[in-house]
Amino acid sequence: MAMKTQISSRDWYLLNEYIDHQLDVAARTRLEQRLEREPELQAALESLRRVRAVLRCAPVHKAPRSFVLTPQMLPARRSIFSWVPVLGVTSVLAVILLAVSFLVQWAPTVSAPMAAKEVAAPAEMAVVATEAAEQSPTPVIIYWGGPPVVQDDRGRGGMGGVGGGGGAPETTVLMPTSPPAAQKLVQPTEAYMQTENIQPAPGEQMETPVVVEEGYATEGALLAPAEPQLESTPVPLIEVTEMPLITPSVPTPTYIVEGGPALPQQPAVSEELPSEPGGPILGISKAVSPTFLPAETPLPSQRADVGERRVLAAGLSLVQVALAAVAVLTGVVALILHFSRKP
Amino acid sequence: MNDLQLVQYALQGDLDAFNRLVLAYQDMAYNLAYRILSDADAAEDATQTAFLSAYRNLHHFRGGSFRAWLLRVVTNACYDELRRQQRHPVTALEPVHEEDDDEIESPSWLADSSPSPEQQIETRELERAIQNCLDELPLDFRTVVIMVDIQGLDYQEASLAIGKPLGTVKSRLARARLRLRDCLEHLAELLPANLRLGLREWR
Repeated sequence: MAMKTQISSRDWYLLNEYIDHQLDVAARTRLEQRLEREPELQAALESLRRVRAVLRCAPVHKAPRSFVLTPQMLPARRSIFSWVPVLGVTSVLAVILLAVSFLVQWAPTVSAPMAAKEVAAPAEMAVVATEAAEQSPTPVIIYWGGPPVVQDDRGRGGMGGVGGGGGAPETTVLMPTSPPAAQKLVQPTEAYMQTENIQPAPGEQMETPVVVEEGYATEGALLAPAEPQLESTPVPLIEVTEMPLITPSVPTPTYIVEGGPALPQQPAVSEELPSEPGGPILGISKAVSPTFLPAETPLPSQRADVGERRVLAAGLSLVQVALAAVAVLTGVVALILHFSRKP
Repeated sequence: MNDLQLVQYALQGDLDAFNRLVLAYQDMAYNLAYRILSDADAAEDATQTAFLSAYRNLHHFRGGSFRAWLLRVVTNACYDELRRQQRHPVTALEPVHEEDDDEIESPSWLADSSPSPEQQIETRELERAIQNCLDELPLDFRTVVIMVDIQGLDYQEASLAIGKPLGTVKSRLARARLRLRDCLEHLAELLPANLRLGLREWR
């Protein structure tokens, strides 16, 4: 029984490359020298050559028929004119989306003025008050929460919600809660004067009545009736000096009615606004003093919202530009193809 | 006109130019498909599919050996056919009897211009032996050895045709030949006498 040739895989690969002329000159020379020395390697080479010879003797199967292509076999090429409907629909869709984007952009601006009006209303109140104070020849009384209460030296006030501060100037001022309306002259009632034991100073000319805003809700007896009650009896008024414009950091200002004699034992009102560490100012506690902010200063949260809206607006603008470009381009191309198509 | 020029005309829409390429390579393409699929009908379908695919994808041909590029298309078509057969196995309704007279119309007979009966028998036996051993090879090995040893491609063309590196081609070819050597050794009686003698010596 003949022995099979056993060689390494590496040698078998070398022999394959050798018979296929894939070895370089140096490698071929070394292999040929080994073939002369190693009979097993030579035998393996011979077996490999015969395998290749057998394979090359295999009959060639000729084509049983012609495989040439006919136009019927080929898929119909899509004509460029078949794109006209697609381009047209794309253009229309782009226009529709563009219109929708404009609607989305304009819709918030319709409701914005309404909200802006509401925001502007309180600011207008302060502006009106400031302008009135500047323009009116006579000082204007601004009531924050109620009309000023004429207090006696005992510190009693007749207006609800206003606490008296010990030792502070005893004129209280309150801010009306509604926009200024028509002014009415209201005389304090005699009942109130009697209750508060308010006596006019001797020789006092009580001619200038207290100016009150109409519709103003009061708790005291000094004001109240919806109809003006002009009585002949003048009321004592307190001398007032005009105060500086209100700023957000400034506590509640004090306005003093000008034109009347000061009440006895009433300390002179300083024009300087007291600082605000803790206690109430001029008899007005912090709880009732409203916070007044000019309309131009936005809150931090409002600034963030504004920035976010700007980013969204910029993005929406880019989308609109892209949609417009798509609509125009596809529409133009569709029209060109449509009219250039031969009938 | 060489292959590259015909390809250029075909790319411009000249179907006749492409059909000239078809006529030049259809035998080689069919032979490769037959050796891979080991079935005449399947090889015919795969060859037609391959030429249609080649025409549709002619713009992907980047130059070089058109033969190698076309054989790659044929190989892929054969692999697709094998996958399809694995999903939907087909059983012949009637067994094919090679001793019948219909055998005269088989392609193997057409391959020989004027064979003698003895030659025809030897050819048939060789064909059967080789195809049996090829069928036992893994598909990757089978494709490489068919391209190099039966179709006559060199290593570079075979690398392009199967889409693998040169080292992969060498490795697969060497391993395929080693397995064929062991397979043909067992079928030595079926081989022609001259080749049988050589194999006996090498046993």
